[in-house]
Amino acid sequence: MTEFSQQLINCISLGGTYALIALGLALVDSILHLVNFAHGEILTLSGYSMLGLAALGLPWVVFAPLGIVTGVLVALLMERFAFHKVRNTSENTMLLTSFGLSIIIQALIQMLVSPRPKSIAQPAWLTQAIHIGTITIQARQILTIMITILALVLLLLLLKRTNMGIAMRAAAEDFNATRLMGVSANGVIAIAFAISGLLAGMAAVLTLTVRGSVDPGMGVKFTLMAFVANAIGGIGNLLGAVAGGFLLGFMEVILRVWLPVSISGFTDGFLFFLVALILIFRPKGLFGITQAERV
Amino acid sequence: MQRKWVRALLGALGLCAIVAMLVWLYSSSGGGARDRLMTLMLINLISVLGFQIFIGNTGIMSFGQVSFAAIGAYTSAILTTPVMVKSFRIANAPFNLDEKQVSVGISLLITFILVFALATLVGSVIVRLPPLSATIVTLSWIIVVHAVIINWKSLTAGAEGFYGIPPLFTNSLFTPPDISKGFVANTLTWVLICAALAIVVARLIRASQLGLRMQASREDSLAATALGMNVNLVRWIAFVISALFLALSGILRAHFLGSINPDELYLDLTFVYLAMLLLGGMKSVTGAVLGTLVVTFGQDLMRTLGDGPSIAGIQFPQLFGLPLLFLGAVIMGIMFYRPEGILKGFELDDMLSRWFSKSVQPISQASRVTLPASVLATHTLTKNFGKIQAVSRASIEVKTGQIVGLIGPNGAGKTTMMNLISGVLDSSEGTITLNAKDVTKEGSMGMARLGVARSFQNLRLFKDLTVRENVEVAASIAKRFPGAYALSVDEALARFDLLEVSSRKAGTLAYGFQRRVEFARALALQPRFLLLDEPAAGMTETETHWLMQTIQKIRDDYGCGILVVEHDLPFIMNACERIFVMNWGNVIASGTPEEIQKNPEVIEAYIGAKASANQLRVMSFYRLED
Repeated sequence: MTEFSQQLINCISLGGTYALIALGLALVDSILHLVNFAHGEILTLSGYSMLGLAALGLPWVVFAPLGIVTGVLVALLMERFAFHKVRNTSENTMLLTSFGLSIIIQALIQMLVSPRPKSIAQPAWLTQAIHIGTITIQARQILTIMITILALVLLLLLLKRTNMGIAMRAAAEDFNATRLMGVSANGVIAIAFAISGLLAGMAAVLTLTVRGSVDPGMGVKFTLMAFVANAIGGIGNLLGAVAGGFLLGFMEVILRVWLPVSISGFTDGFLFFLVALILIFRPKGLFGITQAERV
Repeated sequence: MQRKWVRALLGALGLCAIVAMLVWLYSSSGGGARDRLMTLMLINLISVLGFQIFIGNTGIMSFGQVSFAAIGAYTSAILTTPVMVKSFRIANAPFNLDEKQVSVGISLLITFILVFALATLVGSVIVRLPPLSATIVTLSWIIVVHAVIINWKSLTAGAEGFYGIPPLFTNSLFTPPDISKGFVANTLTWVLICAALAIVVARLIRASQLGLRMQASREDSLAATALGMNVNLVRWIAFVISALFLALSGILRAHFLGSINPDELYLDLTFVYLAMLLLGGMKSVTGAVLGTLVVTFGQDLMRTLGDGPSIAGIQFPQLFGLPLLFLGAVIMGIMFYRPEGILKGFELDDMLSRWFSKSVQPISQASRVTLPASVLATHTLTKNFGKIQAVSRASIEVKTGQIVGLIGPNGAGKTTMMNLISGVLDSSEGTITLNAKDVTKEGSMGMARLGVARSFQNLRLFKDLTVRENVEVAASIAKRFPGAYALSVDEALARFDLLEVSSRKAGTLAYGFQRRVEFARALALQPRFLLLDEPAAGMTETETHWLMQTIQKIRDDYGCGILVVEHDLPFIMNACERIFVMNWGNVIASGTPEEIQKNPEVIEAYIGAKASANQLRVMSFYRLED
């Protein structure tokens, strides 16, 4: 039971990070039909901004929030300078634009900073173990779970209760009709990107507490996971993306724990094998809505 | 038919000549490093052509193709590497592979069979999935293959890679390669020959009926299925051919470099290949070749610059990310300014089109055929969408040689009925019969093959194919149907006055012309029954009149039965012998035009209970939209 609760906490904290990333991707995708391959690079750049701020001698409580702000700014800049231009083109064109952007950002970091990983000191209290009964939880895990829940609840309230949230959900259903109702396209899109940047920035802070270092290619895995979480959850379904993110985190932790050591290298292989199985038997994802094509 | 092949072959050979010239010019003016770059470029070219065959022709984005290069490379390497070398690297290989060495010929055979088998398996799964799921499954596949290669250390030597692979081109194909004897062949020449063959094959595939079908499935898979095309089969074939191209590329690469590393044949290389394909334009072979050339030379230049050369006395700094930056910039630049690639689907031989275009000759005598009498009927057909019953217990009937109208107010269920009969939608209850045989479960491909063709209300053309190709796809599929009556492509085009525009891309035509291409394509299926969904929508009175005459002529000449859904009442009243009226999903009346005009229920459905029969008659002379 102890083992189980312990792993459950690991699952929730890893799944939570994936859920944040997946939700940001889903939010932009549902409105613009843009699968943002450079989404992980928001996280990367947010991480590098924290590297810079930490080098200036700022403490964690200052550079972590600033790192999240950087995430928002990066997302808005991406929208303004890369995606604005291809807004009304095909899904493939937008996907590949973001793909090119992702490569450019990675190359620039390699050239301007370093191709090697750089470590960022994390405050000691983050890794402090807290004992609750027989379970040991690290402070960062509590932080992760709290931030994830907070972010998801706030976003849900935003989407359900505020005018902007309703406009965004309407835009996700039918963007053109929403614009005809007098909702500003630029506004909705900017807000969507800002939120996706905010979530990616949070994920950057949280993942740094685990890995403690940044490298140019660190975003790619998160993009991949977000992309896959979306597919599992059902494309265009925001709650599905969250569920997909948690499910991926669960599967990854469970595979890591229960795969025998001799084949532990297979974790990614098994994970993606499971993903393929899910999609083969539920091509529209677990929570996907089958929409009949108009003939 | 012949001309098309000659033209494609000339184009392909032209491409080969250009590539060979470039390779020769570049490598003859430099040392071994240039030979090496050219060899790798040609090997990559084979991969990119493989990408073009699947991704370019079918439009399904795949991240998994490079896995077949990895499988090909490892299989061939493990089979042909001398036992001596293997005893160091993989001493305990499964199946005692470390104690065996086979000749290149046998290794090639085994490798291609293995890749064929795996591609068959993976391809048959992928072609059934919707676009994004298919892409993710291809991604999952390559990650799984990569994990297997890294972890199956006893077979592949794991993450450190596999070394000591002998060259492929040796004295004999059928004796095991022996390093001590030395090698005669010039690898660059042999790789060039392989690449040239790959260009020719890829170009001929595009020109073939099969290639046309692949492209039709890319443009509109629903319409392709409604023409009786087995879209999944076509995609599967493209996938397998593509995998074999990648395998060849992987084999050449492993034997040329003498070593392979699992990370080398993985996602990074996939992205480079995608960039090459997209840069030139994924829809054409010429585009794939151009993209490969530009990216190869561009990245090589960037690598030189990134190494920090000193040019004219100025020392440049080292910039290792430069080739990567170039790749990203190329992709973004293309997406910004030319999303369909530099060439936008242009083939080299398009320059020859002037010499190969057919002169337009009027069809002297339209053929006449007499189809055997058949009856297509629905019996208490019902379709529920959730709780809404779009069609309820509708029974209608069309006989060959008849023009039958299906009318009703908006939302009456006419188009749903059309979709049910053509098999695009499955019915909830009731049956559809063709000559009393139950065909309810045939689906849209099956119905097309049984001789039931349709046009779509909101145009579903293969926009990137020419008008002739649109019709050709249908005609080539129809040839195999039992009831086909050998209607030529020219005749189908001529029926709808399309000969003059036949070499234009369908998507570039004006709306009225596009409608006509829809009809010609449906007619080219040589159907026993032709279903037309609002054929006169958006047409002027003159055009409507022309359409009516054309439809009647088609019925007279071929004897097929025609079912027309239309809002234009004058059109229906004048063209049809028999009319069914629907309202709220029910068939509320049927009969001759005269009977329908007098029917009180019909009048009520159209203009309310109090209107008189006379009013409907008056209205029928005007356009009635609702």
